[in-house]
Amino acid sequence: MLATIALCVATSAMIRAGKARYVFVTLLPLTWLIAVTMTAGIEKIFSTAANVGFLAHAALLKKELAVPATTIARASELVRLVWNDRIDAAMTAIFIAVVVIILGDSIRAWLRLLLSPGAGRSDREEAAA
Amino acid sequence: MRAIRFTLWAAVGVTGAYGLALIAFARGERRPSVLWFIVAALCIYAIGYRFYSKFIAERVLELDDAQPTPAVRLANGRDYVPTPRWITFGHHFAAIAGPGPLVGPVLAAQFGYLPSTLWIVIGAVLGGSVQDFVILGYSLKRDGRSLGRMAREEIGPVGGAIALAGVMLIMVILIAVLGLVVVNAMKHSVWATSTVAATVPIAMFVGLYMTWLRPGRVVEASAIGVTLILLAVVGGRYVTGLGCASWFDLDAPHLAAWIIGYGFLASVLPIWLLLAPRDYLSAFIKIGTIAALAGGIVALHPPTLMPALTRFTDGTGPVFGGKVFPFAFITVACGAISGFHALIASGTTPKMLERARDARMVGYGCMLMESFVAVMAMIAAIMLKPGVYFAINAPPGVVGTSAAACAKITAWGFPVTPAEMNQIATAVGETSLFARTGGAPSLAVGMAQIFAHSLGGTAVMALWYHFAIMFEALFILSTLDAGTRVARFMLQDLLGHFWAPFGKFQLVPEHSRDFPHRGVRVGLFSLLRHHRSARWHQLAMAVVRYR
Repeated sequence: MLATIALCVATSAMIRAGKARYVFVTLLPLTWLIAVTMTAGIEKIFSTAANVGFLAHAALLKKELAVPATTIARASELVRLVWNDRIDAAMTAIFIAVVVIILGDSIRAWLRLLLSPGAGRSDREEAAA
Repeated sequence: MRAIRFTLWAAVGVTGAYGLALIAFARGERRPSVLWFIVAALCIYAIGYRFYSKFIAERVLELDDAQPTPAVRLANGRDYVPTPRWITFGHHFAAIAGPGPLVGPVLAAQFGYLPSTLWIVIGAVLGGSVQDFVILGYSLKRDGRSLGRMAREEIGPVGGAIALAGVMLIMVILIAVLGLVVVNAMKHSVWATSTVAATVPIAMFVGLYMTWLRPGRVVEASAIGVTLILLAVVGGRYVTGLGCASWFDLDAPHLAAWIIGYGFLASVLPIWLLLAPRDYLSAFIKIGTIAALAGGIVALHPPTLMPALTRFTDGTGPVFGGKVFPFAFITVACGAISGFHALIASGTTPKMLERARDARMVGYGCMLMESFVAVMAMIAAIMLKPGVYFAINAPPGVVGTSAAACAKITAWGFPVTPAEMNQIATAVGETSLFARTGGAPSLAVGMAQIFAHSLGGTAVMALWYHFAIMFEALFILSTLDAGTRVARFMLQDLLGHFWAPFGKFQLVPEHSRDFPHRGVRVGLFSLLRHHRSARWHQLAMAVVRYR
């Protein structure tokens, strides 16, 4: 996820510097990274396999909790584990949201830069130019 | 001359491609020798460095030595210090190389060697190195600005704020994971814990030595530090028999408390006292050990025992769940591409580079070096017997313990017996190696095998095992405290981002927190100023400032 942010920034900087024809240098790893992290994130949340999906794991534990034979010690542990799974799922969702927002905002910035050359130049660069 | 050069590079390219093809297409019992992993990786790194990074340097980034770097232009002897490129290389490598390249490939070896190998080598050349390099290049052109500030400037206020918040969150998790790996490696291991504990006073002694006893004698201090650490490794072996052994025989919660305590101390104590010397010592040991490991692998050229792809690519793996895509690539990530590097490449390093074009060697080159570390770690995992590998890395919740675990792993088609496991555990001086999850212990077993077989036989295997554990803990702890530091900087950045209108409220606590550090820094720099002639002192100043 960190790398996604870094590559988005680098791509913007590249377009801004007038190097739009070389964006494949950062877009190639960026595309691959987005594919990998998004698939992993979505699987970790929604996968039905209990060893992958956090929610599936929580559901499995809840089933065990519902069995009357479960001891009190085990039950309190299960409640904790279910809670852990939910936190993990929420964290993963937050990270996915972060990546999507940054990617969206970056694409907006890239399009703006590409469509109106010069419009995106910051004051600092104007001063340097 | 041109023709010779062309032939030479063509030969390197062909060798690399042949090696990779051999690794990729070998199936069944005929597995490629581990030497091919090293050869293929080195050839591909060479091609990537020679051609792709040159292309990026000249065409994309247009790095120009005639343009003074921020370090030169804004030199202030504190934040911006022009530093020779090899020393910058060392700094950058020490800062980026954490547990990722060591542990990730070991864990991902449950899928077989093929996915990780391709990802580590190709990912580093096309992805990780490119990322580190372009971020470093752009930060260089922007007065060494941080990633957070660049995100705000290049993407916009929304993207910038979200990026900072996300980075902050991920740092917290990252530091927690680093701590977990260290704890798993050291729990109930008297030797490892006592050795790692010894590195703290050794580092502090070296820090005091460098600052008060003989200021600036960095080479001398480092030699003393490395000698003391080697003594601690050997001496740790005899702690078990002493009365104080119970001090170091800690369970996970206690060990975690100690590590949290260390992290706190390391960020509160003056930087030159603990962090900077630990950085020196770990950089020496990191590079030395990896070089020795490569030498050992070449001398021993052990057979590859892990298959190219295991049945666990379907997502039922015992080490961690999930299919080979995407989880192999997530797990190895740090050996192939890591956003953490971007924080360093836009933090300390751009403020040290003397010449713009050195960014190629530092940015692109360091990542290749780290990727090579990842290849080494993977070799250490795939030359273990797969049964042994799974017995060490599978958690008890999945396979059970000892005999039950052996039966289950054997049933998967990776034969292993309890006697075999006990024999290895005895050889390395541990009571049990079952379910030592986290990747670090099995890496240590692999490294110990390589070292013991190439130097000195099984009699010294225990020594090498504990050296490897200590090596990993040192490797990881230095990223843990550096990470804590970066996280602190980011927290300040983040608060400033959101609470800019509350500037006054924000500024007061920030200054009061910085004050003692600043005082120490000023004192140290006036001390060092008298010895400014040598380049080493510039490095010392740079490291002290940045860490």
